[in-house]
Amino acid sequence: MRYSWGLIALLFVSTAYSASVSLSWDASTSSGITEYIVKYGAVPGVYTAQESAGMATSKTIPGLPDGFRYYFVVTAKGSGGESDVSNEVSYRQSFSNPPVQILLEVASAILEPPFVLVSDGSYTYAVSTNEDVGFCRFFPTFPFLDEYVIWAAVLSENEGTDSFYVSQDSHPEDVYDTVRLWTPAWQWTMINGRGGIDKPIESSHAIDPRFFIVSGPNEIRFRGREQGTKLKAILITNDRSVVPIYPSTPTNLTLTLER
Amino acid sequence: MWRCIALALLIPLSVSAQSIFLHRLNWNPVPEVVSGYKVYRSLNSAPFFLMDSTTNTNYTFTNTAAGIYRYRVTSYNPFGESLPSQEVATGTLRPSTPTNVTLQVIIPIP
Repeated sequence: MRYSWGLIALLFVSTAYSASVSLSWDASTSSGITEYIVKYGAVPGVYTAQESAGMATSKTIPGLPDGFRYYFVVTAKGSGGESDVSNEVSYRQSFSNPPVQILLEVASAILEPPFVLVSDGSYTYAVSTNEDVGFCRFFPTFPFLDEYVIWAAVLSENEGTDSFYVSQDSHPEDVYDTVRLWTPAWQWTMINGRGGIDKPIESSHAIDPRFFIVSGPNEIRFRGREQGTKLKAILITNDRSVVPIYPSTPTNLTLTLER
Repeated sequence: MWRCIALALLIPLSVSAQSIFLHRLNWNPVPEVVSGYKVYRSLNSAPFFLMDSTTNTNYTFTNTAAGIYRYRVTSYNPFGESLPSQEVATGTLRPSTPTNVTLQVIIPIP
């Protein structure tokens, strides 16, 4: 006979120190518990390692490598067997790299038609003149493996000119909706995603914009989606505190002459 | 309003190219933290080119060779540059071309 174990709720994941996590949970409501087992792995639902917590309702797992997300569950064991797994929690130890910013103008990108480079006297930008075709390919070199966000300087004046397909190296494309508010001014927005190019617009901005990028040369590729969406530059950074903006236009310019 | 002032400036400044004038551009600071401002100049309707950059909200220089000059400024930070301000203009006109040149041969009296 299988015991009916109460729900074990994982309450807390915290870093005890760098690259360690501390987990705690509510005790099983069943009697006869002999030990709790923490199971974890790098893929959700697949637990390749486990450690016993004994009768304690907390456990510290040390030695997790920086930068990778780990998924944890807890089971209870008794004389009648092992419970189902608890809810899953995850944690990713941050990378400990120094902050870096890589700013790339479109003039340094490789354009494939119908993407063209345009200068309007104030700005030089890339724009695709047809829907769904043409590439604007950036080739940044990254100093180290890290989790980066990518900002793009775009001009999206209306709902019909506010998206690109974006991909990194050989990873699948996603839809980057450039803005939520359309304006005739250039603006920086963080590249987001829908979780796939076949996802509906309601999924826009659903994906936490993260790019895991290894050190060395990489490719960030924009494919035209809505013609007329204008791209001026990209900023790649591992520093979430960086928020690039365009400064305002100076006003009230006057000229005076003196002998 | 500033266009009117710019046009008005053109007229009284039809001065001799030899006169030394101190030119002073002033503008309002932008609200954001910026790296500085860039001053652009255009001569006789040619494209604007970068004249200088400054962290101040004014820029002074002495007068230039004859021609119609237009100026505008932008603000900039590490992430980009603003759109240009409205323009102001001034001119140091070249002297007008002499016309109606005639030649008279003077025959010496033998």
